Amino acid sequence: MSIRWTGLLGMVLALAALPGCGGGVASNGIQAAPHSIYVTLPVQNAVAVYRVGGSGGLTAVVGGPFLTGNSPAAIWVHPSGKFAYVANQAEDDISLLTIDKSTGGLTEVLPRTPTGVNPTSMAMDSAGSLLFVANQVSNTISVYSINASSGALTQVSGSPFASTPAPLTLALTPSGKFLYVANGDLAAISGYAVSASGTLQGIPGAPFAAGNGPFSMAVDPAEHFLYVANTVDSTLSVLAIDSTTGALSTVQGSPYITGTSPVSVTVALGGGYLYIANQGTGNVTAYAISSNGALTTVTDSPFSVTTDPTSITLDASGTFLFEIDQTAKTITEYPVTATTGSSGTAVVGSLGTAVNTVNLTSPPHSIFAAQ
Amino acid sequence: MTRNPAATPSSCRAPYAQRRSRSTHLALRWGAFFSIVLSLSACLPAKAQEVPEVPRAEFFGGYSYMRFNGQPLGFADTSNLNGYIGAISGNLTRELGGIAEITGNYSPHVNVRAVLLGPQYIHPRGKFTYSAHVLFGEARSFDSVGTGAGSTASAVAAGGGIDWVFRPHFDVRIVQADYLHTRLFQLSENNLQFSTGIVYRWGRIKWRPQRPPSAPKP
Repeated sequence: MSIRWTGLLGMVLALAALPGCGGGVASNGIQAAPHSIYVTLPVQNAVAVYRVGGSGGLTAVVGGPFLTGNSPAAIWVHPSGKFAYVANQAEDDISLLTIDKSTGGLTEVLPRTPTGVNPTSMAMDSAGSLLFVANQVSNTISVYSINASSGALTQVSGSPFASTPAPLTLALTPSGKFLYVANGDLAAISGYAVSASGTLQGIPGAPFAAGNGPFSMAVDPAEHFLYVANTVDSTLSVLAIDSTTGALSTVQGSPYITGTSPVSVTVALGGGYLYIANQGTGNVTAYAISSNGALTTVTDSPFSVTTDPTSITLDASGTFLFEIDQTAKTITEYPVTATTGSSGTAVVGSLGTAVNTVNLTSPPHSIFAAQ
Repeated sequence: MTRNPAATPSSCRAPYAQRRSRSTHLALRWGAFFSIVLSLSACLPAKAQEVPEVPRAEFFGGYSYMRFNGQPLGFADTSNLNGYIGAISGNLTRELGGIAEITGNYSPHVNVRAVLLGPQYIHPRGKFTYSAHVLFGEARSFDSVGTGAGSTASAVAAGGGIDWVFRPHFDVRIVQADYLHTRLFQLSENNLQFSTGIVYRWGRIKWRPQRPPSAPKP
Protein backbone atom coordinates (compact mmCIF):
# COMPACT_ATOMS: atom_id res chain seq x y z
CA MET A 1 0.00 0.00 0.00
CA SER A 2 2.85 2.45 0.83
CA ILE A 3 4.19 1.95 -2.69
CA ARG A 4 0.87 3.12 -4.16
CA TRP A 5 0.80 6.27 -2.09
CA THR A 6 4.47 6.90 -2.71
CA GLY A 7 3.81 6.65 -6.40
CA LEU A 8 0.86 9.07 -6.22
CA LEU A 9 2.78 11.68 -4.28
CA GLY A 10 5.82 11.16 -6.42
CA MET A 11 3.71 11.91 -9.48
CA VAL A 12 2.56 15.15 -7.93
CA LEU A 13 6.16 16.08 -7.18
CA ALA A 14 7.19 15.26 -10.72
CA LEU A 15 4.59 17.70 -11.95
CA ALA A 16 6.43 20.33 -9.93
CA ALA A 17 9.03 20.27 -12.66
CA LEU A 18 6.47 21.35 -15.24
CA PRO A 19 6.15 25.02 -14.26
CA GLY A 20 9.90 25.41 -14.38
CA CYS A 21 10.20 24.00 -17.87
CA GLY A 22 10.67 26.78 -20.35
CA GLY A 23 13.37 26.86 -23.02
CA GLY A 24 13.77 24.47 -25.80
CA VAL A 25 15.54 24.14 -29.07
CA ALA A 26 14.50 26.11 -32.11
CA SER A 27 13.79 24.39 -35.37
CA ASN A 28 17.23 25.41 -36.62
CA GLY A 29 18.81 23.55 -33.71
CA ILE A 30 19.91 26.66 -31.83
CA GLN A 31 18.95 27.20 -28.21
CA ALA A 32 18.29 30.87 -27.71
CA ALA A 33 18.47 32.52 -24.31
CA PRO A 34 15.12 33.96 -23.25
CA HIS A 35 14.86 37.74 -23.74
CA SER A 36 12.31 40.35 -24.78
CA ILE A 37 11.23 42.44 -27.75
CA TYR A 38 9.69 45.87 -27.45
CA VAL A 39 7.28 47.46 -29.94
CA THR A 40 6.13 51.09 -29.92
CA LEU A 41 2.42 51.72 -30.50
CA PRO A 42 2.05 55.46 -31.28
CA VAL A 43 -1.75 55.45 -31.46
CA GLN A 44 -2.01 53.97 -27.97
CA ASN A 45 0.88 56.06 -26.57
CA ALA A 46 2.33 52.82 -25.29
CA VAL A 47 4.95 50.09 -25.67
CA ALA A 48 4.12 46.39 -25.93
CA VAL A 49 6.56 43.85 -24.51
CA TYR A 50 6.91 40.19 -25.47
CA ARG A 51 9.10 37.52 -23.90
CA VAL A 52 10.92 35.40 -26.45
CA GLY A 53 11.33 31.86 -25.15
CA GLY A 54 14.24 29.61 -25.90
CA SER A 55 12.30 27.89 -28.66
CA GLY A 56 11.11 31.21 -30.09
CA GLY A 57 7.69 31.34 -28.49
CA LEU A 58 6.32 34.86 -28.01
CA THR A 59 4.56 35.61 -24.72
CA ALA A 60 2.93 38.96 -24.14
CA VAL A 61 3.79 40.50 -20.80
CA VAL A 62 0.46 40.74 -18.98
CA GLY A 63 -0.30 44.28 -17.89
CA GLY A 64 0.89 45.80 -21.16
CA PRO A 65 0.99 47.70 -23.30
CA PHE A 66 2.77 50.10 -21.01
CA LEU A 67 2.01 53.79 -21.23
CA THR A 68 4.55 56.34 -22.46
CA GLY A 69 4.31 59.91 -23.71
CA ASN A 70 2.50 61.06 -26.84
CA SER A 71 3.23 59.10 -30.02
CA PRO A 72 6.30 56.99 -29.15
CA ALA A 73 8.44 56.74 -32.28
CA ALA A 74 11.53 54.89 -31.06
CA ILE A 75 12.63 52.75 -28.14
CA TRP A 76 16.04 51.68 -26.86
CA VAL A 77 16.77 49.29 -23.98
CA HIS A 78 19.82 49.93 -21.81
CA PRO A 79 22.40 47.09 -22.01
CA SER A 80 21.91 46.44 -18.28
CA GLY A 81 18.32 45.47 -19.01
CA LYS A 82 17.14 47.80 -16.23
CA PHE A 83 15.89 50.76 -18.26
CA ALA A 84 14.12 51.56 -21.52
CA TYR A 85 14.02 54.94 -23.25
CA VAL A 86 11.20 56.01 -25.54
CA ALA A 87 11.26 59.02 -27.86
CA ASN A 88 7.81 60.67 -27.75
CA GLN A 89 7.60 62.26 -31.16
CA ALA A 90 4.52 64.41 -30.59
CA GLU A 91 5.56 65.98 -27.30
CA ASP A 92 9.32 66.34 -27.86
CA ASP A 93 10.64 64.39 -24.90
CA ILE A 94 12.05 61.08 -23.70
CA SER A 95 10.26 58.67 -21.35
CA LEU A 96 12.44 56.70 -18.94
CA LEU A 97 10.89 53.34 -17.98
CA THR A 98 12.29 50.90 -15.47
CA ILE A 99 12.12 47.22 -16.40
CA ASP A 100 11.04 44.64 -13.84
CA LYS A 101 13.19 41.66 -14.72
CA SER A 102 10.92 39.14 -13.05
CA THR A 103 7.63 40.24 -14.57
CA GLY A 104 8.90 42.04 -17.68
CA GLY A 105 6.69 45.02 -16.88
CA LEU A 106 7.64 48.65 -17.54
CA THR A 107 7.06 51.54 -15.13
CA GLU A 108 7.66 55.12 -16.20
CA VAL A 109 9.78 57.41 -14.04
CA LEU A 110 8.68 61.02 -14.26
CA PRO A 111 9.45 63.72 -15.21
CA ARG A 112 10.23 63.18 -18.87
CA THR A 113 13.43 64.60 -20.41
CA PRO A 114 12.99 67.36 -23.04
CA THR A 115 14.49 66.90 -26.52
CA GLY A 116 14.50 68.97 -29.72
CA VAL A 117 11.44 69.13 -31.94
CA ASN A 118 10.11 65.81 -33.27
CA PRO A 119 12.56 63.19 -31.94
CA THR A 120 12.44 60.27 -34.39
CA SER A 121 15.43 58.04 -33.77
CA MET A 122 17.80 57.05 -30.97
CA ALA A 123 21.11 55.29 -30.52
CA MET A 124 23.08 54.23 -27.44
CA ASP A 125 26.68 53.17 -26.95
CA SER A 126 27.37 49.57 -25.95
CA ALA A 127 28.38 50.63 -22.42
CA GLY A 128 25.04 52.34 -21.87
CA SER A 129 26.66 55.65 -20.93
CA LEU A 130 25.42 57.93 -23.75
CA LEU A 131 22.07 58.32 -25.51
CA PHE A 132 21.78 60.07 -28.89
CA VAL A 133 18.51 61.47 -30.24
CA ALA A 134 17.82 62.81 -33.77
CA ASN A 135 15.41 65.78 -33.72
CA GLN A 136 13.95 65.88 -37.22
CA VAL A 137 12.29 69.29 -37.21
CA SER A 138 14.81 71.26 -35.16
CA ASN A 139 17.69 69.77 -37.21
CA THR A 140 19.71 68.85 -34.12
CA ILE A 141 21.22 65.87 -32.33
CA SER A 142 20.64 65.72 -28.57
CA VAL A 143 23.22 63.82 -26.53
CA TYR A 144 22.63 62.69 -22.94
CA SER A 145 24.79 61.01 -20.35
CA ILE A 146 23.04 58.15 -18.51
CA ASN A 147 23.14 57.61 -14.75
CA ALA A 148 23.97 53.92 -14.34
CA SER A 149 21.96 53.44 -11.15
CA SER A 150 18.86 55.54 -11.78
CA GLY A 151 18.87 55.71 -15.58
CA ALA A 152 18.34 59.48 -15.43
CA LEU A 153 19.40 61.52 -18.46
CA THR A 154 21.59 64.63 -18.34
CA GLN A 155 22.30 66.62 -21.48
CA VAL A 156 26.03 66.83 -22.18
CA SER A 157 27.84 70.12 -22.63
CA GLY A 158 27.19 71.59 -26.09
CA SER A 159 24.04 69.54 -26.72
CA PRO A 160 21.92 69.81 -28.78
CA PHE A 161 24.38 69.76 -31.69
CA ALA A 162 23.46 71.22 -35.06
CA SER A 163 23.02 68.65 -37.83
CA THR A 164 22.30 68.69 -41.53
CA PRO A 165 18.61 69.26 -42.34
CA ALA A 166 16.00 66.67 -41.36
CA PRO A 167 18.02 64.05 -39.50
CA LEU A 168 15.92 60.89 -39.71
CA THR A 169 17.86 57.94 -38.37
CA LEU A 170 21.07 57.29 -36.43
CA ALA A 171 23.73 54.60 -36.48
CA LEU A 172 26.50 54.42 -33.88
CA THR A 173 29.56 52.27 -34.38
CA PRO A 174 29.95 49.48 -31.77
CA SER A 175 33.01 51.23 -30.29
CA GLY A 176 30.96 54.41 -29.86
CA LYS A 177 33.57 56.45 -31.74
CA PHE A 178 31.48 57.55 -34.72
CA LEU A 179 27.84 58.56 -35.17
CA TYR A 180 26.21 58.57 -38.60
CA VAL A 181 23.02 60.41 -39.50
CA ALA A 182 20.73 59.74 -42.47
CA ASN A 183 19.21 62.95 -43.79
CA GLY A 184 15.92 62.59 -45.63
CA ASP A 185 16.50 65.68 -47.79
CA LEU A 186 19.99 64.71 -48.94
CA ALA A 187 21.37 61.72 -50.78
CA ALA A 188 24.12 61.71 -48.20
CA ILE A 189 25.13 60.58 -44.72
CA SER A 190 26.45 62.97 -42.05
CA GLY A 191 29.16 61.78 -39.72
CA TYR A 192 30.41 62.85 -36.28
CA ALA A 193 33.28 61.78 -34.08
CA VAL A 194 32.08 61.20 -30.51
CA SER A 195 34.29 62.21 -27.59
CA ALA A 196 34.33 60.41 -24.25
CA SER A 197 32.08 63.10 -22.79
CA GLY A 198 29.60 62.78 -25.65
CA THR A 199 30.39 65.93 -27.61
CA LEU A 200 30.06 65.65 -31.38
CA GLN A 201 32.65 66.83 -33.88
CA GLY A 202 31.91 66.72 -37.62
CA ILE A 203 34.00 64.20 -39.56
CA PRO A 204 36.06 65.94 -42.26
CA GLY A 205 34.60 65.33 -45.69
CA ALA A 206 31.05 64.82 -44.43
CA PRO A 207 28.38 64.50 -45.65
CA PHE A 208 29.23 61.34 -47.59
CA ALA A 209 27.38 60.35 -50.74
CA ALA A 210 24.70 57.64 -50.54
CA GLY A 211 21.61 56.91 -52.64
CA ASN A 212 18.40 58.94 -52.79
CA GLY A 213 16.20 58.74 -49.70
CA PRO A 214 18.68 57.23 -47.23
CA PHE A 215 16.66 55.91 -44.34
CA SER A 216 17.70 52.87 -42.35
CA MET A 217 21.35 52.18 -41.50
CA ALA A 218 23.37 49.44 -39.82
CA VAL A 219 27.04 48.97 -38.92
CA ASP A 220 28.70 45.54 -38.97
CA PRO A 221 30.07 44.32 -35.59
CA ALA A 222 33.68 44.69 -36.81
CA GLU A 223 33.01 48.34 -37.61
CA HIS A 224 34.27 48.03 -41.17
CA PHE A 225 31.15 48.98 -43.12
CA LEU A 226 28.05 51.13 -42.91
CA TYR A 227 25.01 49.79 -44.77
CA VAL A 228 22.43 52.33 -45.91
CA ALA A 229 18.97 51.48 -47.31
CA ASN A 230 18.00 54.09 -49.92
CA THR A 231 14.19 54.03 -50.09
CA VAL A 232 13.81 56.24 -53.18
CA ASP A 233 16.43 54.48 -55.32
CA SER A 234 15.56 51.02 -53.96
CA THR A 235 19.24 50.32 -53.42
CA LEU A 236 21.65 49.45 -50.62
CA SER A 237 24.81 51.54 -50.26
CA VAL A 238 27.84 49.87 -48.71
CA LEU A 239 30.31 52.41 -47.30
CA ALA A 240 33.69 51.51 -45.81
CA ILE A 241 34.49 53.18 -42.47
CA ASP A 242 37.94 54.66 -41.90
CA SER A 243 38.82 53.38 -38.44
CA THR A 244 40.85 56.52 -37.63
CA THR A 245 38.77 59.38 -38.98
CA GLY A 246 35.37 57.78 -39.46
CA ALA A 247 35.23 58.95 -43.06
CA LEU A 248 33.05 56.90 -45.41
CA SER A 249 33.91 55.67 -48.88
CA THR A 250 31.86 53.63 -51.31
CA VAL A 251 33.06 50.03 -51.76
CA GLN A 252 33.30 48.36 -55.13
CA GLY A 253 30.02 46.86 -56.20
CA SER A 254 27.92 49.36 -54.25
CA PRO A 255 25.08 50.20 -54.51
CA TYR A 256 23.29 46.86 -54.58
CA ILE A 257 19.80 46.48 -55.97
CA THR A 258 17.14 45.64 -53.37
CA GLY A 259 13.41 45.16 -53.52
CA THR A 260 11.17 48.22 -53.83
CA SER A 261 11.45 50.82 -51.06
CA PRO A 262 13.89 49.24 -48.61
CA VAL A 263 12.94 50.67 -45.21
CA SER A 264 14.84 48.64 -42.65
CA VAL A 265 18.27 47.00 -42.57
CA THR A 266 19.76 44.81 -39.85
CA VAL A 267 23.05 42.96 -39.51
CA ALA A 268 23.47 39.67 -37.67
CA LEU A 269 25.59 39.97 -34.51
CA GLY A 270 28.13 37.60 -35.98
CA GLY A 271 28.42 40.00 -38.89
CA GLY A 272 28.04 37.35 -41.54
CA TYR A 273 24.59 38.26 -42.86
CA LEU A 274 22.56 41.33 -43.72
CA TYR A 275 18.77 41.59 -44.04
CA ILE A 276 16.74 44.33 -45.75
CA ALA A 277 12.95 44.72 -45.48
CA ASN A 278 11.47 45.93 -48.77
CA GLN A 279 8.20 47.69 -48.07
CA GLY A 280 7.09 47.96 -51.68
CA THR A 281 7.54 44.28 -52.54
CA GLY A 282 6.68 42.71 -49.18
CA ASN A 283 9.86 40.69 -48.85
CA VAL A 284 13.26 40.54 -47.13
CA THR A 285 16.50 40.47 -49.09
CA ALA A 286 19.28 38.47 -47.44
CA TYR A 287 22.98 38.91 -48.20
CA ALA A 288 26.07 37.09 -47.01
CA ILE A 289 28.86 39.56 -46.18
CA SER A 290 32.44 38.89 -47.24
CA SER A 291 35.54 40.30 -45.57
CA ASN A 292 35.98 43.00 -48.24
CA GLY A 293 32.39 44.16 -47.84
CA ALA A 294 31.11 42.50 -50.98
CA LEU A 295 27.60 41.10 -50.67
CA THR A 296 26.39 37.77 -52.03
CA THR A 297 22.69 37.05 -52.25
CA VAL A 298 21.61 34.14 -50.04
CA THR A 299 20.03 31.26 -51.97
CA ASP A 300 16.25 31.68 -52.38
CA SER A 301 16.44 35.37 -51.37
CA PRO A 302 14.30 37.49 -51.28
CA PHE A 303 12.02 35.81 -48.76
CA SER A 304 8.35 36.64 -48.63
CA VAL A 305 7.10 38.32 -45.47
CA THR A 306 3.95 40.34 -44.80
CA THR A 307 2.54 42.80 -47.32
CA ASP A 308 3.82 46.04 -45.79
CA PRO A 309 6.95 45.41 -43.69
CA THR A 310 7.82 48.47 -41.62
CA SER A 311 10.85 47.41 -39.62
CA ILE A 312 12.89 44.29 -38.92
CA THR A 313 15.33 43.24 -36.24
CA LEU A 314 17.21 40.13 -35.25
CA ASP A 315 17.13 38.73 -31.74
CA ALA A 316 20.41 38.77 -29.83
CA SER A 317 21.33 35.23 -30.79
CA GLY A 318 20.50 35.70 -34.46
CA THR A 319 18.11 32.78 -34.21
CA PHE A 320 14.95 34.65 -35.17
CA LEU A 321 14.07 37.69 -37.27
CA PHE A 322 11.15 39.84 -36.14
CA GLU A 323 9.16 41.97 -38.56
CA ILE A 324 6.45 44.53 -37.83
CA ASP A 325 3.77 45.53 -40.32
CA GLN A 326 1.97 48.85 -39.76
CA THR A 327 -0.88 48.00 -42.11
CA ALA A 328 -1.58 44.49 -40.86
CA LYS A 329 -0.81 45.52 -37.24
CA THR A 330 1.27 42.41 -36.66
CA ILE A 331 4.56 41.16 -35.32
CA THR A 332 5.82 38.15 -37.27
CA GLU A 333 8.69 35.90 -36.30
CA TYR A 334 10.83 33.96 -38.77
CA PRO A 335 13.52 31.41 -37.99
CA VAL A 336 16.93 32.05 -39.47
CA THR A 337 18.78 29.26 -41.24
CA ALA A 338 15.77 27.02 -41.02
CA THR A 339 14.69 26.45 -44.56
CA THR A 340 15.60 23.76 -46.94
CA GLY A 341 16.73 25.51 -50.07
CA SER A 342 15.76 24.74 -53.60
CA SER A 343 18.78 22.43 -53.69
CA GLY A 344 17.22 20.32 -50.98
CA THR A 345 19.67 21.26 -48.25
CA ALA A 346 19.55 23.73 -45.39
CA VAL A 347 20.71 27.19 -46.41
CA VAL A 348 22.66 29.23 -43.88
CA GLY A 349 21.28 32.73 -43.45
CA SER A 350 17.94 31.97 -45.06
CA LEU A 351 14.57 32.76 -43.54
CA GLY A 352 12.09 30.04 -42.78
CA THR A 353 8.31 30.11 -42.75
CA ALA A 354 6.82 32.33 -40.05
CA VAL A 355 6.64 30.51 -36.72
CA ASN A 356 4.67 33.10 -34.76
CA THR A 357 2.35 35.99 -35.58
CA VAL A 358 1.05 38.40 -32.97
CA ASN A 359 -1.95 40.59 -33.77
CA LEU A 360 -1.77 44.07 -32.29
CA THR A 361 -4.61 46.45 -31.54
CA SER A 362 -2.90 49.41 -33.20
CA PRO A 363 -0.17 49.96 -35.81
CA PRO A 364 3.37 49.37 -34.60
CA HIS A 365 6.07 51.89 -35.46
CA SER A 366 9.41 50.49 -34.30
CA ILE A 367 10.78 47.33 -32.72
CA PHE A 368 13.77 46.65 -30.45
CA ALA A 369 15.19 43.27 -29.46
CA ALA A 370 16.92 43.40 -26.08
CA GLN A 371 19.90 41.20 -25.43
CA MET B 1 53.43 28.04 16.46
CA THR B 2 52.26 26.59 13.19
CA ARG B 3 48.65 25.58 12.94
CA ASN B 4 47.77 22.10 11.86
CA PRO B 5 45.57 22.59 8.78
CA ALA B 6 43.69 19.45 9.67
CA ALA B 7 42.58 21.08 12.91
CA THR B 8 41.02 24.11 11.19
CA PRO B 9 37.62 24.84 12.77
CA SER B 10 34.57 24.14 10.61
CA SER B 11 33.71 27.83 10.60
CA CYS B 12 36.96 28.52 8.75
CA ARG B 13 36.32 25.95 6.01
CA ALA B 14 35.87 27.13 2.49
CA PRO B 15 32.24 28.05 1.71
CA TYR B 16 30.03 25.62 -0.20
CA ALA B 17 31.49 25.85 -3.69
CA GLN B 18 28.45 25.04 -5.82
CA ARG B 19 25.43 27.35 -5.68
CA ARG B 20 21.94 26.03 -6.19
CA SER B 21 19.06 28.05 -7.55
CA ARG B 22 16.42 28.93 -5.00
CA SER B 23 13.74 26.86 -6.73
CA THR B 24 15.96 23.78 -6.92
CA HIS B 25 16.87 24.16 -3.26
CA LEU B 26 13.19 24.43 -2.35
CA ALA B 27 12.30 21.34 -4.38
CA LEU B 28 15.08 19.35 -2.74
CA ARG B 29 13.93 20.45 0.69
CA TRP B 30 10.36 19.35 0.07
CA GLY B 31 11.53 16.11 -1.53
CA ALA B 32 13.68 15.26 1.48
CA PHE B 33 10.82 16.10 3.82
CA PHE B 34 8.48 13.86 1.87
CA SER B 35 10.96 11.00 1.89
CA ILE B 36 11.38 11.20 5.65
CA VAL B 37 7.64 11.26 6.28
CA LEU B 38 6.96 8.35 3.96
CA SER B 39 9.79 6.33 5.46
CA LEU B 40 8.51 6.91 8.95
CA SER B 41 4.97 5.96 8.05
CA ALA B 42 6.15 2.76 6.36
CA CYS B 43 8.21 1.78 9.41
CA LEU B 44 5.40 2.20 11.89
CA PRO B 45 4.02 -1.20 12.76
CA ALA B 46 0.34 -1.67 12.03
CA LYS B 47 -1.41 -2.83 15.13
CA ALA B 48 -3.49 -5.84 14.33
CA GLN B 49 -6.26 -4.98 16.79
CA GLU B 50 -6.35 -1.14 16.15
CA VAL B 51 -9.58 0.21 14.66
CA PRO B 52 -8.83 3.30 12.63
CA GLU B 53 -11.51 5.96 12.96
CA VAL B 54 -12.84 7.98 10.08
CA PRO B 55 -14.56 11.22 11.07
CA ARG B 56 -17.93 12.24 9.72
CA ALA B 57 -16.59 15.70 8.95
CA GLU B 58 -13.27 17.53 8.99
CA PHE B 59 -12.33 21.19 9.11
CA PHE B 60 -8.86 22.01 7.86
CA GLY B 61 -7.00 25.30 8.00
CA GLY B 62 -3.39 26.25 7.54
CA TYR B 63 -0.55 27.68 5.48
CA SER B 64 -0.29 27.36 1.72
CA TYR B 65 2.64 27.79 -0.65
CA MET B 66 2.18 27.96 -4.40
CA ARG B 67 4.65 27.76 -7.27
CA PHE B 68 2.80 29.83 -9.81
CA ASN B 69 3.53 29.20 -13.47
CA GLY B 70 3.91 32.84 -14.47
CA GLN B 71 5.82 32.28 -17.72
CA PRO B 72 2.61 32.32 -19.83
CA LEU B 73 1.98 35.79 -18.39
CA GLY B 74 5.40 36.96 -19.54
CA PHE B 75 7.15 36.43 -16.21
CA ALA B 76 10.79 35.42 -16.36
CA ASP B 77 10.28 32.41 -14.11
CA THR B 78 7.82 30.70 -11.76
CA SER B 79 6.67 32.85 -8.85
CA ASN B 80 6.59 31.91 -5.17
CA LEU B 81 3.27 32.75 -3.57
CA ASN B 82 2.33 32.37 0.10
CA GLY B 83 -1.06 32.33 1.71
CA TYR B 84 -3.76 30.30 3.38
CA ILE B 85 -5.95 27.27 2.85
CA GLY B 86 -9.24 26.27 4.39
CA ALA B 87 -11.38 23.23 3.67
CA ILE B 88 -14.46 21.40 4.86
CA SER B 89 -14.87 17.73 4.04
CA GLY B 90 -17.69 15.31 4.68
CA ASN B 91 -17.17 11.57 4.52
CA LEU B 92 -20.02 9.38 3.30
CA THR B 93 -18.24 6.09 3.92
CA ARG B 94 -14.96 5.11 5.46
CA GLU B 95 -13.32 5.62 2.09
CA LEU B 96 -15.25 8.19 0.16
CA GLY B 97 -16.21 11.77 0.80
CA GLY B 98 -16.29 15.27 -0.62
CA ILE B 99 -14.33 18.46 -0.07
CA ALA B 100 -14.98 22.17 -0.42
CA GLU B 101 -11.72 24.11 -0.41
CA ILE B 102 -10.74 27.77 -0.53
CA THR B 103 -7.18 29.05 -1.00
CA GLY B 104 -5.49 32.40 -1.33
CA ASN B 105 -1.86 32.82 -2.39
CA TYR B 106 -0.08 36.14 -2.76
CA SER B 107 3.13 37.76 -4.00
CA PRO B 108 4.09 41.37 -4.75
CA HIS B 109 3.16 40.98 -8.43
CA VAL B 110 0.34 38.47 -8.59
CA ASN B 111 -2.21 36.74 -6.42
CA VAL B 112 -4.28 33.61 -7.04
CA ARG B 113 -7.44 32.71 -5.14
CA ALA B 114 -9.44 29.58 -5.77
CA VAL B 115 -12.64 27.88 -4.68
CA LEU B 116 -12.76 24.17 -5.49
CA LEU B 117 -15.11 21.24 -4.90
CA GLY B 118 -14.79 17.56 -5.50
CA PRO B 119 -14.57 13.98 -4.24
CA GLN B 120 -11.88 12.56 -2.02
CA TYR B 121 -10.66 9.07 -1.23
CA ILE B 122 -9.54 8.33 2.31
CA HIS B 123 -7.29 5.58 3.56
CA PRO B 124 -6.76 5.51 7.31
CA ARG B 125 -3.88 3.44 8.55
CA GLY B 126 -2.94 3.45 12.16
CA LYS B 127 -1.92 6.90 13.28
CA PHE B 128 -1.98 8.22 9.75
CA THR B 129 -4.71 8.99 7.28
CA TYR B 130 -3.89 9.23 3.60
CA SER B 131 -6.16 11.01 1.20
CA ALA B 132 -6.42 11.78 -2.49
CA HIS B 133 -8.78 14.12 -4.31
CA VAL B 134 -9.75 15.69 -7.60
CA LEU B 135 -11.31 19.14 -7.36
CA PHE B 136 -13.00 21.46 -9.80
CA GLY B 137 -13.87 25.11 -9.49
CA GLU B 138 -12.81 28.65 -10.20
CA ALA B 139 -9.67 30.72 -9.73
CA ARG B 140 -9.29 34.48 -9.64
CA SER B 141 -6.08 36.40 -10.10
CA PHE B 142 -4.84 39.94 -10.17
CA ASP B 143 -1.57 40.79 -11.90
CA SER B 144 -0.26 44.14 -10.68
CA VAL B 145 2.20 44.61 -13.57
CA GLY B 146 1.70 47.88 -15.42
CA THR B 147 -1.82 49.18 -14.97
CA GLY B 148 -2.83 45.79 -13.62
CA ALA B 149 -5.03 43.07 -15.02
CA GLY B 150 -7.52 40.72 -13.41
CA SER B 151 -8.89 37.41 -14.53
CA THR B 152 -11.41 34.77 -13.45
CA ALA B 153 -11.23 31.32 -14.97
CA SER B 154 -11.71 27.62 -14.40
CA ALA B 155 -9.38 25.61 -12.20
CA VAL B 156 -8.73 21.91 -11.66
CA ALA B 157 -6.69 20.38 -8.85
CA ALA B 158 -5.44 16.87 -8.20
CA GLY B 159 -3.49 15.83 -5.16
CA GLY B 160 -3.39 14.22 -1.79
CA GLY B 161 -2.34 14.55 1.78
CA ILE B 162 -1.05 12.84 4.89
CA ASP B 163 -2.62 13.48 8.27
CA TRP B 164 -1.21 12.41 11.62
CA VAL B 165 -3.72 11.77 14.40
CA PHE B 166 -2.24 13.21 17.56
CA ARG B 167 -5.45 13.83 19.57
CA PRO B 168 -8.92 12.30 19.44
CA HIS B 169 -10.32 15.31 17.59
CA PHE B 170 -7.25 16.88 16.06
CA ASP B 171 -4.90 15.87 13.30
CA VAL B 172 -1.83 17.52 11.95
CA ARG B 173 -1.91 17.61 8.18
CA ILE B 174 1.75 16.99 7.64
CA VAL B 175 1.50 17.90 4.00
CA GLN B 176 -1.03 18.27 1.22
CA ALA B 177 0.36 18.48 -2.31
CA ASP B 178 -1.75 19.58 -5.26
CA TYR B 179 -1.22 20.07 -8.96
CA LEU B 180 -3.42 23.04 -9.85
CA HIS B 181 -4.23 23.86 -13.46
CA THR B 182 -5.72 27.29 -14.18
CA ARG B 183 -6.75 29.12 -17.34
CA LEU B 184 -6.23 32.65 -16.10
CA PHE B 185 -5.85 35.55 -18.56
CA GLN B 186 -7.01 33.19 -21.31
CA LEU B 187 -3.75 31.33 -20.94
CA SER B 188 -2.83 28.00 -19.37
CA GLU B 189 -0.87 27.75 -16.11
CA ASN B 190 0.45 24.58 -14.47
CA ASN B 191 0.92 25.36 -10.79
CA LEU B 192 1.99 23.39 -7.74
CA GLN B 193 0.65 23.97 -4.24
CA PHE B 194 1.81 22.66 -0.85
CA SER B 195 -0.18 23.07 2.34
CA THR B 196 0.09 22.16 5.99
CA GLY B 197 -2.02 22.85 9.04
CA ILE B 198 -4.46 21.58 11.64
CA VAL B 199 -7.49 19.37 11.06
CA TYR B 200 -10.45 19.24 13.44
CA ARG B 201 -12.32 15.93 13.30
CA TRP B 202 -15.99 15.74 14.10
CA GLY B 203 -18.17 12.65 14.45
CA ARG B 204 -17.24 9.12 13.56
CA ILE B 205 -18.21 6.64 10.92
CA LYS B 206 -18.62 3.34 12.79
CA TRP B 207 -16.54 0.40 11.73
CA ARG B 208 -18.15 -2.99 11.71
CA PRO B 209 -15.67 -5.86 11.47
CA GLN B 210 -16.56 -8.66 9.10
CA ARG B 211 -17.85 -11.84 10.79
CA PRO B 212 -15.72 -14.87 10.17
CA PRO B 213 -17.59 -17.49 8.16
CA SER B 214 -19.37 -19.96 10.45
CA ALA B 215 -18.24 -23.56 10.46
CA PRO B 216 -20.51 -25.96 8.45
CA LYS B 217 -22.86 -28.12 10.55
CA PRO B 218 -22.05 -31.75 10.54
